[in-house]
Order: sequence, then C-alpha cells, then structure tokens
Amino acid sequence: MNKRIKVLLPVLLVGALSLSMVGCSSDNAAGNGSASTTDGNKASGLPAPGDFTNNLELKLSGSFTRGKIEDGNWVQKKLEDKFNIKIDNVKVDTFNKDQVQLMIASGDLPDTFAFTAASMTAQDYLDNGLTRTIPKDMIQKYAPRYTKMLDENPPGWEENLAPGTKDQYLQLLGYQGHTKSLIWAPTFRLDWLEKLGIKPPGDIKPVGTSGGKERIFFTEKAYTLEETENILKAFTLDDPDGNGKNDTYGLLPFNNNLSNWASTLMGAFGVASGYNLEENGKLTAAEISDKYKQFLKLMAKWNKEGLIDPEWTTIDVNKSWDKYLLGQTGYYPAQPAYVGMDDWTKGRAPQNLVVKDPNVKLLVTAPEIGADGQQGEGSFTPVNMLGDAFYISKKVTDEQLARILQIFDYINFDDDAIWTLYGDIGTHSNWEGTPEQSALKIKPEYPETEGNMGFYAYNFRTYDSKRASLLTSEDTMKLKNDFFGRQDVLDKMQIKPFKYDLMNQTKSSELNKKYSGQLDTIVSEFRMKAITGQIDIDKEWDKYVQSYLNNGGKEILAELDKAPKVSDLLNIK
Amino acid sequence: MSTVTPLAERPSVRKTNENWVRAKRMKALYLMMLVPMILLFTFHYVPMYGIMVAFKKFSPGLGIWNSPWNHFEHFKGLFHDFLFTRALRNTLIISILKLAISFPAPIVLAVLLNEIKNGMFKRVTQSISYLPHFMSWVILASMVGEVLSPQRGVVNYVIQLFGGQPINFLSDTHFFIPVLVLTDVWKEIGWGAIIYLAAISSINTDMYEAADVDGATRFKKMIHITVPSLVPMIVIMFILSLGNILNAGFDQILNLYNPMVYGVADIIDTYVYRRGIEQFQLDYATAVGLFKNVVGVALILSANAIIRRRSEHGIW
Repeated sequence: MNKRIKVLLPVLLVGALSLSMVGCSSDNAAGNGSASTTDGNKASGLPAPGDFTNNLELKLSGSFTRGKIEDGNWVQKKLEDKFNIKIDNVKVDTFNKDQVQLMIASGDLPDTFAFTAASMTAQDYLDNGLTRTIPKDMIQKYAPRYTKMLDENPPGWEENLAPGTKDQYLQLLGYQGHTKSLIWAPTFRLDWLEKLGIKPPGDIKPVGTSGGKERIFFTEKAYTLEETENILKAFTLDDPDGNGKNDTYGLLPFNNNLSNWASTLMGAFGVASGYNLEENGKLTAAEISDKYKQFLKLMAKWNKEGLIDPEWTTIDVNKSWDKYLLGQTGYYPAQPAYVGMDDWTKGRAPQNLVVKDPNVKLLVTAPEIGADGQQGEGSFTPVNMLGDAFYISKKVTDEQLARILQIFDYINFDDDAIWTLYGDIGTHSNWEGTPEQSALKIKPEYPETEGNMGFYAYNFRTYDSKRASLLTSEDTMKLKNDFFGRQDVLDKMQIKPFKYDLMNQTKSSELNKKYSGQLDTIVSEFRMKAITGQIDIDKEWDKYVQSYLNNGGKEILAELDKAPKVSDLLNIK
Repeated sequence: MSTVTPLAERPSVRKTNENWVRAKRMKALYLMMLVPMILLFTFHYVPMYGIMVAFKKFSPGLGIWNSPWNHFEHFKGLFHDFLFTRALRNTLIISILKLAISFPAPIVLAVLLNEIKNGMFKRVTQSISYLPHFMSWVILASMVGEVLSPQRGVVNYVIQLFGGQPINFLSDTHFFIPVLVLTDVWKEIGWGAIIYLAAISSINTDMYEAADVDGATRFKKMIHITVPSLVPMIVIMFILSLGNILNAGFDQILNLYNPMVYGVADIIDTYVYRRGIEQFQLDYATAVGLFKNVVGVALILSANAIIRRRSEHGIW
C-alpha cells in the first residue's frame, strides 16, 4: 500500500499539473496567433453604413481608460442606443504599466484599445497575434471622416501598412492637433529677476488677467545660454528670495523624462532627446552625438558651480513639482498649457507656486539661444501630425469591425459627438470663457472622465483644431497663436529626426524593442554620472559611445539608415 | 507443515490498518489541512507551469503552450548581458551583507530585550522596534529620503554642524549599500526578534537558577545559557535565510534607487522587473528569474547538507 501511494502521488501531481496546463492553454491554442491579415474586399458582404440591425456586444476601451468607468453610464447608454450595441466596459487603468503589460501578457484584450502605458509596437501586437489588421476598403466605407483626415495628411495612407500589404492597416491613427506648437518653454522667477535687477530679454505681457495668470508674463524673445547661466548664478548665489539664507537654486531637473526638463537646453545645442541626427555626414543617435556631449558638459559645469538643486538625482518629475512648490527654484520648464493654467495641468510646476504664493511672478521666454544661434526643441511628432495608435483586437469579426469603425469615426471625428467628452453643453459642462473660443469645463458635480457619466471613456487621443481648442484655455490658445504654434516659429525651432521609419520599411522598431532596455540604462547612467561630476565626460566619452554601439546601438542605426529622410517624408504631397 | 499467517495479522498490514484507524480518528484535522494544501498547490505549484516561458519565444497571442521553443537562447545569452552579470554580482553582495548584518541583529536585540527587567519599558521598546515592519517600503523610502536629504535631512544637518559637506546618500555609490543594509535592519530587527524571544521564553528556568547558585553574572548567564539555547533556532533561521539569499530586497531597492546607483544597486529582481514588466520581454525576464531560483535552491540544499554533516541540526 505504501509503495502504491508513493508511486501514485507523483503520478497524480503530474496529472494535475498537466490538466492545469491544458486548462491554461486551451483558450490560447484556439486563438491562433499567427500574424493574420484580413483578405481583400471585405466590405462588400457587410451591412451598409448606418445599418445597425444586428445587436452586437463590444468590449471597448480608449486612450483615457483608467478603470474608473461605471456600468450603465450616461455616454454608454447613448452609444448603445445609437449604434445598437451592448458595451462591455474595461476596468483597467491603461495608464498603469504593470496592469497593462500583464493584461497584454494574458492575451485577453478589449476589442478596441489605445494603451497609454504599453511598450509594444503595432507590429509587435500583430506578430503576437493580439490584433487584427484593418482593411482599407472598410475604413473608406465606414469611417469617412477618418478617411478624409488621412487624405489630407500625406503620406497618411502609406503609414502603418501591414508588411507585404497595400491595403491592410496595423492600427488607426490620431491627428495630434493639440501638439502643433512648441511643447516646452523656459520659465524664470520674474520677482527674483526684478529683485536682482535683471531685465527680461524683450517686451513682456501678462498671459491672462486673473487667477494668477496676471502675474505670469511672456516674451517671445529669449536669453542666450550665457545669459541664462549668469541668471542661474544670481538665483543661486545672490539670495533672490531675500531670506538671508543660501537656500535657492537655479535649476531643478529630475531623474527621468530628459525630454521635459532639458528640451530647450538641448535645443540650444541643436539636439533633441530620442531623435537621430546627421553629424559629420553620418547618421547618429542624439545620445551619442557631439552636440549632446557639449550639452552634458555644460550641465556638469552648472552642477559643479552649485546651480543645480543637488536632490535632482533622487526625484522624478512628479516629486519635482512638489519640490518647486517650496519656492527655492528659479528656472523650470513649462508647457504653454501649464502657464495658461489649463484644467489638466493643475498642481504642476511652475503654476502650482503661482497659485500658492501671491507674491510670485513668472517670466516665460522663447527657448534659449545657443552659441551658434541654435534655438529650439524636439517636435512632439517626428514627421507629420499623425500619431498614437488605436488597435483592434484579433477577436473582432468583420461585422464588429464595421460597427467599431463607425463608432470610432463618429465619437472621434464628428463635431456632433462632443457630448462623448463633455456631455451636453450647458447641462454637464460650460464654456470657460467666450463660447466656441475657449475651453469646455465639466461642471464640478460630474466626474471629468469615466465614472457614472462616461466622458472620455471610449475616445481616442485625436484632436483636430476644433477639438484641441476644447481643452485649451483662451489664454493658452493666445500663447500658441501669438508664438508657440506660429508656423514660422515651428519651422525655425522644431527639431525633427534626420531619418524616420514612418512606413515600417525597416526592422528598426523590432531592434529598438530588443535593445532599448540596455541602451536606456547605459544612457541614463552616463548622463547622471556625467552631470553630477562622478565621471570625467571627456575621458569616458569614447568608452560610453562604444558601449552604446556594442549593446545594440550599432544595429539600430544601421537599420535606421535604410529609412527615408524626414525632410523627404515631409515633401510627400 | 508450514503455517500461513492470516493477511490481517501480517505486520505490514496491521500497521496500515492502524494508520488508517488513526487517520480516521483525526479526519477533522486532515480535512482542515486540505484547505491550505489546496491553496498551496493552486498558488505555488500550478503557477510553476509558467516557468516554461523561460524556454519559449513567448507570444501572448499564442499562449505559453503554443509559443515556439527558444532553444535555450536566453540562458545562452544571459552571461553575455553585462546588465545581468552586474545584477547578479550586486544581488550577491547586497544579500551577503544583509545576511552578515541583518541576520544577527534580531538575535542581539532579543537577547538584550530579555535582559530588561522593567516589563513596561521592555514592551514599549519591543513594540517600537517592530513598528517599521508593518509599513511598506513606499512609505519608508520617503522617510529615508527625508532623513538623508542633503538639504533638509537630519543626518546631513549633523554632518554640517561638524563642518562637513552634505552627502547625497541615495545617489552616492559608496553610501547606497550601507543605507540599504541599515534601513533593512531598522525595518526588520524588531519583527525578527520576536521568534528568538519566543525561543528564549521556552528555556528551562532551572538552568538560570542553577547558574545563580553557582554565582554566575547576568552576562555569563546570557553567554552560557541564553545564546547556546538559541542555537537550534538560529540554525533553522539561518538555513531559511540562505534560501532567500538571492532576494536582496526588491521593494526596498525599487523605492530607493535611481540611475546614479544602478551600478551597485540594480539587483536581479529589479532587472527582471524592468525587462519583464517595463520592456515586456517576459521570456527573458523569466529566464533570469528562473536562474535566480535555481541558485537559491542549490544554496539552501548545500547549506542544509553542510550543517547536517557538522551538527545534528538542520531542516531535513
């Protein structure tokens, strides 16, 4: 008996394990994940646009899904009625990387998704059998407004094609109208400048008339890097807050998001974080370019002189907002919307201090001017205004896709569908200022997103100029119209990559995924050690560049070299 | 003429019957044990199926079973990945330091607490010492950050009082590891001491009384009675700690580190987290994690074997 038990027990264990394996894998096995594409003219056998006879169940999520949606919400009911669908809500925070990555790993994805926090590319999703392709004829038939947008933004129809096809798309794209401006601008403590007797670089005018905005001033002129350095020294050494203590600093960087805090400073050297550039006739990555090296050397010099808050190495961007609130920092980068105090920027520096302290005044300037007159910053989108990604799950049938495309086209591109974002104007939201020319604000009694109203719950991050204006205050819009979004300013100051694989012609995104972990670590470690003076930049530079190239950088650059130049892409009509 | 012993009277059968009778008598206890056994099986054995990911080119759409084999690609590449070898080195260094300092600390505290005669003071001290154990590293890391802040921190204030320059402890590769070890001791010393205090309370008081008669001082009693009586418990705890030697403190490090100190602080767990969750290289991250676990099992087996050979103590 004992022997029998001894033999039986492992057998039972193995059996149970095998059963659990089968149990765990059966679903996945059924869903063959090979990179499939939907054949040819699928639209022909499907209902006509507007024919919603069959009731369909759809599991929808969008760009703003944070898992706070309530079933049976106001927007849901209206959409269900309008499109004869039953919506299954997604209760996952798609801004949370842990949650999103685990959901992707499980393979159980919503029918539509546009995760903010995911790190996979469109090709990855398809290769992993998670998404389906979207036929061109279905887009043209069921999404006329989206079709028009692609027509108007060449080479829109050539972007995101599935490899080897000419009419199958990996994803749907958004129009990033809200980013059609310079994203970052330097801000200085104007009250400190006045106390120190330092003049603004040009005429200044207030950004607004109330709410603190009357104390935020803007000039479209800029300081040079040399002048900026002198100002930072004065901020640090000359007791600008007059408290008799040596407790102020010029600059407050943070240990992540280089493209935020250093955008305009790097721009003064003609380089943008994350983009490639042509240097000495060769394609190179920004982070191993000579221009970047010069930027690092300047930062290291500022750090050595004590102009940089020493705690920057241990704080991220969110903590830096809190730190700025202490009122010990003289310079901080800001988006026009931050100084225009748009709703979504509440609590962010530098406006948080303006709100807190009525004595604080700010000066917003154009990006600093470098030694060779270079001035600018990396553009938000690398080529045209199309970007972001809205995916359709592998499980979605053609009939469901037809319905999804019509919903997508309506809620994201039809002016009539503003209610999906702001409810009924007058009932659920009000104009912040002049009707039709200012931002819409949800009334305080309703949740701004999701909840029992469902605002923003199913929408994609796409903004034509009309929609962009809805989330932009009049003051921010004025800043953009006057300077940050002006075409001549953008032409002069936006830094775009030298080459970009807009049409998936190379394997650069696959290689990026493979090597990005190592490269990010190498770059961030070197950057921080260089700026804090733990290493001698000149002595260590070659070793760093070699390490970057040896750990995948060389392969990525070689692949990227096959991609078209951005200047050529921009000339496609 | 040979006599045939009836089946029921054969010793082995008799023993089986006795076992069965005994088991039936304690069926309520076995039933109670079933629940934790099911939980253990469900949450600790069934998920082991997932380690297959380490040997696969994992595709979420295909699932674990249907993803193609990677022919040990990750394990072959592991030692060519300088970030992995660095993480392994850091893990061993931090773990060994923690074992050397954090492990004996609760023993010392327990022995010292045992010597406190004032009951109220003893209870208060004990409570205060194990309070940090109940706080997550998210909170503790903020507290550590404030205490060690080069601008506002009390430690740097003292350093400056004596004419020193403020030190950014959390960004300095020389100070980061000591900070890790000391904060780990701070968090766990009180909680760890509880088990030793329990062991101390079970020491036969006759021994202390006999020692009193022999004129032993309190220190002598501590050295010659308390500590030797704790040895079996110390050995068991030590072997269990060895099993965790490659768990160098994921929560603690993730909340305290930054790219400045990756060189000394990036451990296998943080590396797995970055590769697996942040960069979605789940198969590679699983391979790294599996390697860590295999080394952990090897360590616990060898430690147990060595201790068994040298003494009668040991887990099995």
